[in-house]
Order: sequence, then structure tokens, then C-alpha cells
Amino acid sequence: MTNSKKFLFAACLTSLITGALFFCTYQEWLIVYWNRPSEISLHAIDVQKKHLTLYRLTNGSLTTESVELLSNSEQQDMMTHITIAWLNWLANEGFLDKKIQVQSLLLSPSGYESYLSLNQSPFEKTWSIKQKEELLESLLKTWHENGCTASLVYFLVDHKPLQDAHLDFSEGWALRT
Amino acid sequence: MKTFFLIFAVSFTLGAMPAPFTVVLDPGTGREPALLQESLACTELLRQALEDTFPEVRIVLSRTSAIAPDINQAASFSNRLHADLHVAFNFAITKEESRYVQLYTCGQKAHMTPGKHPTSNLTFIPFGKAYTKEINRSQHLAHHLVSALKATSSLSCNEPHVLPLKALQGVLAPSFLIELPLTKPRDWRSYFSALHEGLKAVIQEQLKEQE
Repeated sequence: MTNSKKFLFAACLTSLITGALFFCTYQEWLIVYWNRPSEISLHAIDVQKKHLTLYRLTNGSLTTESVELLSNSEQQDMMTHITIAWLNWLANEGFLDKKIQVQSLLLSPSGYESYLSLNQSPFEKTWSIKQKEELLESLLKTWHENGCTASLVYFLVDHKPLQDAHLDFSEGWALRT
Repeated sequence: MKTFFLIFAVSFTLGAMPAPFTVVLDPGTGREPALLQESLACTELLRQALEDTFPEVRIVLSRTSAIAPDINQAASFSNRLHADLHVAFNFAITKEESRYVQLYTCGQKAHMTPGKHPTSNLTFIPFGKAYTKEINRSQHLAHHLVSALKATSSLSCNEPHVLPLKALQGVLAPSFLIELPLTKPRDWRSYFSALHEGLKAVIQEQLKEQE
């Protein structure tokens, strides 16, 4: 076998192996991690035990409850945990007859606006405007007093503006300062 | 020709006459037929009492039957009549025995202080923002009603709250909403004399402003 034939054979073999490797990668039979583990940014999980005060306004009088929660320092996660704790407290105390769940709570990139989506309206059909206002003000006060920096909140049900007979939720509600 | 001129002159004179001072009372909407009926009875009695006090004032109810209308119907009706004052009611059944009157004016919670108001009648205002035209006057009259209620009755009455109320968003006239908690639908009778006195004071205040 002459040198030129050897070179040709080696080139064909290399092309075949390279082609086979690319084909396997393309078909996802072979998965290649292009990033080395050291290049993946790992966020340090900063979970802390926090002491929170939950608020409930009834006929102008304020009821409070102290709870301890495990939460990280992310504003969005903290607001979600506070809201869940607040809803659970209201359900346990019998203030809410319905089982309200938080579908999602998102913050705008500026952190100024927040969007709270629930699985159903927290209001009963027979509630007065005052009862509805007091419930929302209780949540806003709970957020504000526990260090949430968002100043405007949009109330949603199934990711659409909350529909109510008395109040319009197409615009955001300001956290009372 | 003379007849035509006479008709034209009479029409022109009538057209130039100032419209009567108009107050619209909105009994509100609701889901319970008993409450719809009782809110209508209450506002009808108030209308009669206020008409006796102010014979020159036109007092109109936004609905005359116990059928709940569309939430925007009362506002449209009030705007067509060029009302000078719009008072909405909300009767709510509560378990608590506390007797209070809670007043609300329309506004957004996001911006509690009113912005620039349209200065010309030709300025376009969307229906949902009609309340902004008289937002300051609405708040003034609501505060005036609270003062009158405190002075003339023993009812507990907080300062007016600002909320984005669907019932008032489309109203161009100064407007506010009165919420009454009732243990039974007929309990509104215990509020009647206080409401009458309070509304009398508000109408007088608004008449004074218009003079």
C-alpha cells in the first residue's frame, strides 16, 4: 500500500467516524455536554427562617398572627410564601370558606409591580364592599409590614383580571404606606 | 310665517332656560331579590322626602322596578339627564349587629391624588374615567355628608374611602356611594331619618356651589 493510499484510507476513516458522531448527536442518540460543570452558574441558596406578622382587618379592628417561615431572600418567593401563609391562616380561622390557592406571583423587572394570580375569587357573593376592601387591605398591609418592596399589585384569577360586581380590578392596587 | 317664527322663538326660549337641578338616586344592583326590592323602597321614600324639602329640585331614581339593571345603566342615565349629583346605594346583609354608614368615592388605588382634569366640555373622557371630571367635588361632598351624619345622628360613620367602584366609574356628575350593612333587608328604616338629613345637607351644599 503506497503512502497516498494510506493517507486516503485514513482520511475516509476519520470522515466516517466524524460523520457518525455528528449524526448520533443530531439524532440525540448521543448527548454531549458542551459546558463544563465549572461554567454553570450556581446560585447560592440563601434560605433563612423569618418571623412574620400576618394581619386581618375586621370592622376596622386589626387581628394579628405571628408565624415563622423558611424563605429565601428573593422578593418574589418571599411574597409567595407570605401570601400562602396568610391564606392558610384565614382559612384555619374561618375567615374564608373557600380554598384559595396561589397560582403564581410574579414581579415586574423593576420590582415595582406585582401580579398575584389566584385559582378563584376570594370574595363571597354576599360580601359588602367594606368586607372586600378590608380583605385586600389586610393582604397589602401584611406584605408591606413584612418588607415587600412592590408598591402596586394586580389581582388576577386564572391569570386574568379578577371580576367582581362592585370593584374594578383592571388597574393595580397600591400598597398603603 | 308668523306661526313658524312664534314656534322658533318659544323653542329657543325653552332651550335657553336652565335645566333644573337634578339629583339621581341609584338604588344599586344586587343578587338578592329582597334587597333589590328594599333598596328601591328606601330610595323611593328618600325621593319623596327630598322632593318635599326641595320642590325646585328634580329627584330621579335610576331604576323603578326590582329588576337588577346592567351596572353601567345608572351612570348612562345620569349622564343623559346632565345630573348635578349622583348618589348610589349598596345594601349588604351582614351577621354583625354594628350599625354604620360607609361612604365611598370613585378613584384608583394606584393614584390616590387626582391628576389633571379636563377643562373643556369638548375633552374626550372614556366611560370608565368619567368620574375624574368631578373627582374633587365628589370627595368634598362625601366628606360633607359624613360631617352631616355625625352632626345629626348617632351612627358610626368613617371618612370616605376611595375605591375603583364600577357603579360610579361612568358618572360625570359629582358622585358617591353609600353602603348600609343590614341584618335584615327591612333594617334600612333605622337609617332613613339620618340619610334624609345628610342628603339634605349635601344638596344644599351643591345648590350653594351652583349659585
